[in-house]
Amino acid sequence: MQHMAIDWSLLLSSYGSVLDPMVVLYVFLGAIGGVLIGSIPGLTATMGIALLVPFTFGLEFLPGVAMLLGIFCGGMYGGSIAAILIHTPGTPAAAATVLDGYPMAQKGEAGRALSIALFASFCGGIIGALLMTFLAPPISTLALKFGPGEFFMLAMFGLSVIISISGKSLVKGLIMGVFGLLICTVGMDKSCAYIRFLKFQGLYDGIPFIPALIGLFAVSEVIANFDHQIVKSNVKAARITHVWPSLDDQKRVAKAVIMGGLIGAFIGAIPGAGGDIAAFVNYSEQKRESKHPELFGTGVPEGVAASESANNGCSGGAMIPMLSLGVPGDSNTAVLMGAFIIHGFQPGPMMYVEHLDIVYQVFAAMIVANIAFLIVGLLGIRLFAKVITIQRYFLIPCILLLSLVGAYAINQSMFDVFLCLVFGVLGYLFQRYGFPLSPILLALILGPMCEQNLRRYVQINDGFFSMFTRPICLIFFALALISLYSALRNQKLIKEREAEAEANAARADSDARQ
Amino acid sequence: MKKANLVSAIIGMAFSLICFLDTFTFKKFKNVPVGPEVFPRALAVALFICCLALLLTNLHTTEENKDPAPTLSLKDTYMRHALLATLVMVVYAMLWEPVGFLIVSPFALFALIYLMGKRNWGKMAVVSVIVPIVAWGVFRYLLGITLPMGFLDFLV
Repeated sequence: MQHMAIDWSLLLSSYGSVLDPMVVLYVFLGAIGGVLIGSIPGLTATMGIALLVPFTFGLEFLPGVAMLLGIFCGGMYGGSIAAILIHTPGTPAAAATVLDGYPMAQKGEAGRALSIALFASFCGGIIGALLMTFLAPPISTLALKFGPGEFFMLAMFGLSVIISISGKSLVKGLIMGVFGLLICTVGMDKSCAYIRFLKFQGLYDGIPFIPALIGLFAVSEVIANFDHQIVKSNVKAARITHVWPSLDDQKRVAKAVIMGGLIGAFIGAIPGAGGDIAAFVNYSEQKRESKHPELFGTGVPEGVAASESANNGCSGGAMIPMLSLGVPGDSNTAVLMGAFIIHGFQPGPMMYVEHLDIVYQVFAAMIVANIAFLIVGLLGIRLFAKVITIQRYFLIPCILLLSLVGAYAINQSMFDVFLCLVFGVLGYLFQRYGFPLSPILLALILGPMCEQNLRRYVQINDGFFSMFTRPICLIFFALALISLYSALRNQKLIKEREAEAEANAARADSDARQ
Repeated sequence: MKKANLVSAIIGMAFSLICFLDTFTFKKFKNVPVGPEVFPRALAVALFICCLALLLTNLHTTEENKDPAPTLSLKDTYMRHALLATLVMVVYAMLWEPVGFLIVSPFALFALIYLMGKRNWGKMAVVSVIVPIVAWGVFRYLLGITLPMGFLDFLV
């Protein structure tokens, strides 16, 4: 039971190491980038993290990962800016923020809505990160019971989760997951030292992760930006009256914020349920409990606070399955996990046993990241309100340049650059026809773990089916089935919520015209 | 979307079939219970089944697939732009080593900004020249990575 207790000296020293000026500087740089990227619709935090991973190679683990966490947390908050000002969520997780944020802006309360979003995002993020710090020890106790069979089933569970949440069609998610696993087998089979499928030198170690990642998430977006006319934004830079909510507003939204932080962290900790679901759940929870539920959707501060606190609380929660199980809950944490692996740390059950200090450092860095985007938001909100109108003509080609340079940087190999372009074209086509990309990414991460552990298990136990006599294996197997089943139900729920959101927005539009 | 789904399913099935057949060319290892061919072969079968499921669920028009799919027709000006932009990217990458990143990047950026629809020549030229130089400088001096220099190799 000794693992159940919190090792305070380890916790404090880990938190202390994050306060190193260099680390703080990189978190701030990340947060600025994250808020910028998050506030521009179409540029997601995932893309931002993917683009910046190569820049962290030259850094130590902590500053590198801290910068990526800054982007992650900043991006989560940044999404609300576009949601409030131009009725387009900057990131999918800010979809629920549109419901009340935009009507508030239409009523001339853009500044109030933005300040509440900042306040709620910050509080939600801090609640999430703190909660996760204190949940770490019990997880490490469980981690010691893992063997090859458990790891294999865990990987299966992870894949089932990401397949089930991504996209509108379960079959397409499955196709992408299996396709990802299949391309994982390209290159050297390490057990037998045998090269499978394509015999290119650049593929001997398998598909290089970062070029594939940049191709799928950045280059594909760049191509997608050429296939339609750019609509000139008719947004006028909104007049921002205040950057921090008044005491009355703070009191008014306090309950929604605290609930949002807790619900967000809890939902985030369920692998697969991301910020969008957390935001909608807390939004409907606050609406249900409110004395005036009919006002939700017409521009009430509680609505903005409910959504923003939950999606930021979720960032802390989402780190739990990623760090403890090695199962990222969404594409953001999948990319972050890739960055961990590149820096030499394989997230998974043993991380909580062998590198608990790293786990604490990650949560401490998340808290600093939340403080960073708070400061960045306070100082720069007027600037970010203008960023939305930035000219994409210049931005998109520059992103392409950064993508290719990033792909080249890892191995300094032109092969990686071409591979990145191939994945870019593939990613573009997949997305155009409704095939989600996150399962490929996760399969690239979990594929080798899946195959190696399965083969190890069969070798040791002389068969596969005895895996179903092991309790943890059975639990993960059952969870995988449940997650696929619940996916079908969730997709229906999200469709209903989206329809409701659209109806509300249409109503707000017509009200505004009148 | 129905037709697009059917076409995607058939492409997927063909791909899985090729992978499946290719696994039979893998070397056989003795005394290895799960050889290198087992996992890819199982996955090829799984991919085939999933694509078959996509095919079967799209044989009839339903609520899910009734919306028209986006086309890839080159009759559409912007699709042509997307294709041209992709070609620019490929040629650009191919010229990195022989010509050099610093020389070829401004032209590529200029072409891409043009394809995006911008016609402010002065601004376009400034952005196209400055961005590659800054990117090169950051990688060279902060990260210690030299991008291919081509003709300008004597500079480093």
